[in-house]
Amino acid sequence: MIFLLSLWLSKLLSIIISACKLGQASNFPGKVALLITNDFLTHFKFNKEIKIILITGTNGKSTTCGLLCNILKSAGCKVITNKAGANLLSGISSTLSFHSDIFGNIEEKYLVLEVDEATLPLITKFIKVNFIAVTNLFRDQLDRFGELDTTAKLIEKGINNCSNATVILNADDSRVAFLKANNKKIYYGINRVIPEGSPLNDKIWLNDPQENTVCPECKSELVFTTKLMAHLGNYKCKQCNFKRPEPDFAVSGFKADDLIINFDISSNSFSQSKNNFFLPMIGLFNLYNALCSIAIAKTILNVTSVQIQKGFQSYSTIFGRGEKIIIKDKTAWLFLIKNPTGTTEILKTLSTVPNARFLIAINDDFADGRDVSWLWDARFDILSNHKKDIYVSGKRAEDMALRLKYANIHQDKIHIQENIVAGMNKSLKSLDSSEILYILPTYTALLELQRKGICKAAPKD
Amino acid sequence: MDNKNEIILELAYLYPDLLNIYGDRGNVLTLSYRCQLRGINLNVTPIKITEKIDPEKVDVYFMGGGQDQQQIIVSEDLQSKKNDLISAIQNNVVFLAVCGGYQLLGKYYKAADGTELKGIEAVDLYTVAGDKRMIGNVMCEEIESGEELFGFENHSGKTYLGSSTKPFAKVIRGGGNNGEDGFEGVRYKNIFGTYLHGSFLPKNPYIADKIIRLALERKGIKMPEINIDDSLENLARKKAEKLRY
Ligand SMILES: [Zn+2]
Repeated sequence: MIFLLSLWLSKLLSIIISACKLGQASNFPGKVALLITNDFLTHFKFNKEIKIILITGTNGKSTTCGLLCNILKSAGCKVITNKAGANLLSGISSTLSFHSDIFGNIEEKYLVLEVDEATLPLITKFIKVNFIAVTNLFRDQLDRFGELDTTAKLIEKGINNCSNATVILNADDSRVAFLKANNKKIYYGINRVIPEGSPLNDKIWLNDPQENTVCPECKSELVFTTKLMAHLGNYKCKQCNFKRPEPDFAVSGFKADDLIINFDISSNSFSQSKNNFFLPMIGLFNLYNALCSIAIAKTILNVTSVQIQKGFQSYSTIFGRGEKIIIKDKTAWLFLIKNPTGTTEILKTLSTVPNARFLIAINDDFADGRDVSWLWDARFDILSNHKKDIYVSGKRAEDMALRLKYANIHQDKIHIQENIVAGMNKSLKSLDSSEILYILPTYTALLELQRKGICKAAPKD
Repeated sequence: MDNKNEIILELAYLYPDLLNIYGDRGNVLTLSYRCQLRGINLNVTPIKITEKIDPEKVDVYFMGGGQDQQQIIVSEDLQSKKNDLISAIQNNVVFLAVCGGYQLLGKYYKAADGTELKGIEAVDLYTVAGDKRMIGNVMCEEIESGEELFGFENHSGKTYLGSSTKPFAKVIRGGGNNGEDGFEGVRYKNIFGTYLHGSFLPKNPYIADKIIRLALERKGIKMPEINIDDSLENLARKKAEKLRY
């Protein structure tokens, strides 16, 4: 009875919040329900055939979750999912209470949730899940969990709560592949050498940002035969037997150009030996997200290649992950930047686009990471051959300008405009008719553009 | 091209692949850039674990900070380089050590559970884990010059200096070495130890030049005096002055 009361209250709150346009009802209703019934999630009655899929990891949760939902929808499935970023206990409680009937029954057969790493054990304590996917493990930019090992142990605890769940793991991330669990495991990874044209710096100490290159088993150094981005690649321990597991789903080749990634997948679970897909996104990290979504979709349901491709094409990007805007006949694209690896991957792609111009907006609020040191780990030197002027904005525009100076960009070509909207207007004005502006904002800089109505997509909260 | 007057400085960059998460490579970029402006060729040699250093050759050492696992590996490897490094330091070689690298120059880092991570005992200092993380934008004043210094600190270790050393700076805003005595970093011989990331040197070109000058003077070479346009550096410093902790 208490459960029903908290369910109704939570439902009522989401109605009020959306009716009064008080913002998104993605966390608050669940938060209130949890205050009354702290095991709120255990009381929902799911469809007997339901498949519950959780996606966790440092980067790519929202995108992987979105891509998977699209694939399932194009295969005709009814899917429930949480809003991007509503990935804590409160957000997930809000999602379930919103989609259930007034008695807590949930009819749909697919529940796909992105789950914060530290929240995973809390969810699996209350709900029996069928699949858990782990995308990757990076040091948290906001320093919420401290060390990487702490995060990995939380995920292990989450998986161990559900011994019957199948886990889907990124084979290319040593700390993910090493997760200790007796569950059935499916691996995915990219089987390919360094992508063509990837700019390497001749000074090795200036190469791509990387971390986590220590063997999780014996703490010796890991050696890599291939490294695709950051610490993801084909690795082997110098001392013990630990090495990258053979992937069940492997990208066997890819080509990235014109803001599209074209790739082949080889897996025993497809009838053909080679399956070609294209993804309307940029950056290797999105190739990993797409691969993960395919691995999950193929494992839970026999979707066809056509259904997968349809899912990718209908995917509209989420907040700041590549949104096109047109202002006064000028075209601009928005790409959120938040850490050295993601930024480096975006720069690698955009530096090959002809007629590209740049506006980089750096804030240092809590949600951006208050320490801007990461700008020095990102490979801004990739822009060193850029001939045109670059605009910098945001609360730390001066730090960004200094970073560009050390990327060999002449300081006469660097324009500082702290106010982001003014920076955008000035840089748009400076474009000639053939040029396109690429705006690279940090999280709160992007929020500012959204509040001014410049970009549309819904933010994570 | 062979210029008889060409000045060469050798920089050994310790463990760039393990201690690499706080943008510390910006320090090496700054030294390299400011050397270049003066016609000095700064050769950077990355030193990985198990690799030997040639102590006769090196003019400047740099070591940054990393995660716990990486620090453990580095601490073990440093023991084999300990004697070479200590004699180099006694011979006034210039050494910039940031955060984890700074801690490892001392006696030990004592974790909360009592386990000790060994340093190389090159400087009379030790570090103990604190229960409060010191994290934020720091402003301080170099003791030798009164010059304002800016950076970002992020550490829970509390460092205490012995009597044979001097602190690097006086804290104006921030935690510094231990959040207790109001001092930041260490100065001993030609060692600069600091908790400041940022990167540190890009926004503190005065210290970058000082490091270059000390390295040259040790070799009996006078620092080439030139005018450098530091307008972007000064804008970033002005901004840093206004940041909150
Ligand atoms: Zn090993």
